[in-house]
Order: sequence, then C-alpha cells, then structure tokens
Amino acid sequence: MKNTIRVERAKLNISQTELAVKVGVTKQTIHSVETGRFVPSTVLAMKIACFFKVRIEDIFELEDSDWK
Amino acid sequence: MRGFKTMYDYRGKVAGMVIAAVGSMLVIIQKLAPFNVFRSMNAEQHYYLSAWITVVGLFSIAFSMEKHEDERVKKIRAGAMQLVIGLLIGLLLALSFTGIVIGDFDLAPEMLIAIAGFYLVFYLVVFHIGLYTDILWQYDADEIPIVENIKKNWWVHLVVVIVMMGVLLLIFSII
Repeated sequence: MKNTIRVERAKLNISQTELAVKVGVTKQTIHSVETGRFVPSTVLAMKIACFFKVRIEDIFELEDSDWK
Repeated sequence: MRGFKTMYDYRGKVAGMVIAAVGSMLVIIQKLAPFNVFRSMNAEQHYYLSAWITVVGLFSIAFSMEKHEDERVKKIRAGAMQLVIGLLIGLLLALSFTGIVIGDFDLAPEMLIAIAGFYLVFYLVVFHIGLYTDILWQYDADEIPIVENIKKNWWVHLVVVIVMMGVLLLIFSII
C-alpha cells in the first residue's frame, strides 16, 4: 500500500516527529509507514487522514501486490 | 486479554534491567569468589540462585512495554516472540531426539519433551480459546455470544480438548 504522507507533511511543513506526536505513535512508525514497510491499522490510518483533514483514500492507495 | 495483564508498563523494564544487572554481577562474583548468604544452601545453590535472579530480570524486561508502545512495536514484539519460541521448541526437540537416538540420558530427553509439549499444549489451548470461544479476548465490537460460538464450533472444541488431554496424558506418562 503506497501513501502520500510525505507529500502531506511537506504541504504543512511538519516533521515526522510532530506528526507522530499528533497521532500518538513513534517517529519510527511514521517513517516505516511512509516508506511502505509497515501497513498501519485502520485507526492509525484514520487518525493520519483526520490530522491532514483529507479522506483516507486520498492518502493511502492499494497496489496490485496488495490483492495477492 | 480481558481481565489479564499480559504486559507490565515501562517501569517493569527498568526494574528488570536492575534485577538482571544485580543477578549477573552476583553470578560473576559467585564464579570468582563463592560466598554463602543462606546457611541452608551450598555454594552451587547460591550460584544457581544468582543465575535465577538474572533470568527473572530478563523475564521482566521481556514482558514490559516500551516507553512508547504503539502498533508497530506490538507487531515486532509478536513476530519476535513467535520466532524465538519456534526456535526454542525446535532446539528442545532436536536435543531430545539426539538424546533418544544416541541413548545419552544426561540430556534428560524426557524433560525436554515435557517442556516442549507443555509449551505447545498451553499455546494451542490459549490460541483456540481466543480463536473460537472469545472468552478472554476483548474486541472493540459488541459482545460475541460465547455459547452460540461454542455451539457453532463444537467439533473444534471437542477435537482440541481430546488432543490436549491425550498430549498431557502422554507427557505425564513419559515423566
């Protein structure tokens, strides 16, 4: 699953640490999500979307490999 | 798990580090210059007691949460535990098999089999309770009707109970 968290962060000019604090996880978790190494839970995905005031599907997008 | 505290908070990790450090220092001291604290115990018992204290400290570290325990940490922890328990049981089975085949009973194959068997039986019991009965696990959804769930999966419970009883009887008969 790919995502545009990095782009959204850049728009608001906030760091991974700031986002992590806002959604209640560690900086490492945000980094792992951004790089696609960790797929967040629905709750965390919704928190991230809420924080950026966008819909989940505007940030997270399924890839072909997710269907296999 | 509902009603059960499976992890201590971060203070448990700090306490575990202190206990493990003290225990390991005692192990080194007991190895270099044995000394007795309890009259009823000999030097060897004191040495093993020090090692036991160290392992208790490690246990506390292993079952304590990180300062910031989020879903990624939980996932890594579950994966690590799964891998390590798998390797440990594999090691126990390999050692016990070696002991049985070469007839070296200094390896105490019966104890190794019993330990591996108990691990697996308890794991399977707890896992199946969570999977089919949902007595202990709490989901964010509404209550799952336990009786209905048992009725729906009665054959699974029957098989699990029979297999568990059989394995436990086997283990006790070996010991």
